[in-house]
Amino acid sequence: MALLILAGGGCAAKQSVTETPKDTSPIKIGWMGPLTGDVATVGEMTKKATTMAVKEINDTGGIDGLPLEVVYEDSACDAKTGSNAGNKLINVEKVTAIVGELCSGPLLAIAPVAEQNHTVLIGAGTTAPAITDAGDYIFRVVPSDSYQGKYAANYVYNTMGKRKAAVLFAKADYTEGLATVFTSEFKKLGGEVVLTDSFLQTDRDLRTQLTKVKDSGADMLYFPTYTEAGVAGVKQAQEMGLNTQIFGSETVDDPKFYGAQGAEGIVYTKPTSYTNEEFKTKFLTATDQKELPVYVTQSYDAMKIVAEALKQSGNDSAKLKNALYQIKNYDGVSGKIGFDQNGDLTTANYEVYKVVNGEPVKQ
Amino acid sequence: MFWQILINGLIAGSIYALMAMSFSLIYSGTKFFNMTHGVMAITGGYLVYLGTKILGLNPALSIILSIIATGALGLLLNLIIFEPLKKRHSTNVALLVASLGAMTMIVAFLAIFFTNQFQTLGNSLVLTKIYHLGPAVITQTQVIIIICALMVLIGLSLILKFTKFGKMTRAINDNEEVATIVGIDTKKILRYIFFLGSAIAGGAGILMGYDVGLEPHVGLWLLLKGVIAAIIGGFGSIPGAFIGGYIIGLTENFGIWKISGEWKDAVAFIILIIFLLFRQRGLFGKR
Repeated sequence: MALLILAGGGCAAKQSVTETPKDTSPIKIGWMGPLTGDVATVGEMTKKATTMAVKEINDTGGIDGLPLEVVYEDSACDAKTGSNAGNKLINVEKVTAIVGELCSGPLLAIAPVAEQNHTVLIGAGTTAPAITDAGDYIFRVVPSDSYQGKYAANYVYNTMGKRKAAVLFAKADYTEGLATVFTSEFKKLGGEVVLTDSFLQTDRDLRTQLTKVKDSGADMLYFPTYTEAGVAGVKQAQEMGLNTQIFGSETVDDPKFYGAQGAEGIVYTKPTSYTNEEFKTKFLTATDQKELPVYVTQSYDAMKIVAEALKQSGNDSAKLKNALYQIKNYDGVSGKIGFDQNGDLTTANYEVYKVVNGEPVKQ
Repeated sequence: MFWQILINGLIAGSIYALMAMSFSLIYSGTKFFNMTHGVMAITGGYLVYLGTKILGLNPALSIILSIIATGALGLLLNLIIFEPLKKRHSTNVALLVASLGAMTMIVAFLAIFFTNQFQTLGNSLVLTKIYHLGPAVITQTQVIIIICALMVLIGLSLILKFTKFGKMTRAINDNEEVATIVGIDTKKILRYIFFLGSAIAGGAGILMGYDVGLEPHVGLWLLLKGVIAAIIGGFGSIPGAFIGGYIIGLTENFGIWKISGEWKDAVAFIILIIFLLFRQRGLFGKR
């Protein structure tokens, strides 16, 4: 009897020495994005796309059996709020990676902290050219605006035949980046930039700037702006009889903007999102929307790519980073995704839309 | 272009003038910096939003009710926060901090109920009437804004000069203690002043809501512009505040004629600093 107990005890002891309990805690991923303020309408949609991706990942076994847990924080499309949100995710929640940011300002604000803490950061809509050099741990699934500004300038000069541009931009990383690239490319093509003016992201009275545009003799107005000021601006432009063609960026791709008074006729560029019909139907039915808002596909892809890379690397931020750099030809719902040595997309494609009867129509 | 910029300046100036006159009215009586004043304007605007877009009431009725409600809110804040503090002989700094707390709370309420998103009043599908003054353009809403500013100037000036209430207000402005001694019910008069000042601010917010739009945190910006205008015009002078508003509105817009538009707000603050350095009492302020 005593021998049996000893043997049993011995076996049990041997088992507890050789078998360490498996860590079954979920892998924490952070999400930061604009849930209030500028672009919030789009932010809510991209958050839904992320939730959808996470559910799919967890329903199919997660990362080798470990579920993903996402912590959502609001960055309000503002560098200060974004910095607080990011710091909370990195230092308090201790997430392995942060995905989803749409606004370049907050992303650039938290990038140094993410870099220092070795937290992977993947932007889903952050297009400012400055992000290319933001760090080793900083990625994005959207092309840099150094392409979008150039594309816009070429379209305006060659396809629309405009020669005298006025440029009116918001003082923010994203919009200033676009304005700078557009201006230099337009001049390179042979066009003339007759007026350059700006306003603060929080300004809502753009009347005097628009008066200067009206007086400048420009045949088009390049207007990179975030939603709120844009909505105010196009209304004021219409009221003062500014008939110059307005050309914008992907922030116009927001029902709040293209449905606003004065938005009729605006033409804008948007990063191409190859229509994956299956995803489109899935998302539109789940969210009761008529059109896929901008960056929804990229947000979905950002989360899915992190999951794929985690399967290779395990829950280790540095290994995750290396795994991400290995991705050259991922088939995402926003198109083929591959990262270059800066964490930027290797390809950049854009489409042009025009607001007709309050709806965006592809050109 | 000069004429359009002039009109832009007059429109902005009118809103600043309304804020400045109402702020000056309250400040002259209470002698403390009421930080809730800007948010009164925004609340007025949002109440009209509530009335017209959510409850579906007639716009004119919504506007009247909202102005009265905003006045009442200002009065309520006075009754539950500022009067009790004054009774305990709190310093002006304490009153300022209390008003800051009240402001933060109201902004949060507005953000919760109406979201942080930029909202406009009025029907965006119906184009407002546009008048052409030579090469310049002005909308009907903007004309109404300028007329309202003028009406408030005239109204307040008449009240202060010719009515008994106005005389008592001026007495309190001069010296509250002496006013109490000569038998004026200073508490009651100050309550009326809070109501009146807040109601005017509410009106300014409504006008701005129809012309440009509303956001919860714009209240502080409106307050600052109003205060700068009131300082330049000279505290204690309603006509001064009126003119101060237009000085800010016009210099802001003409100021960015030749330089980049991002400096618009900075221009107002530069003017303020110049006045504080060289003429602290403002244009019409008492020495």
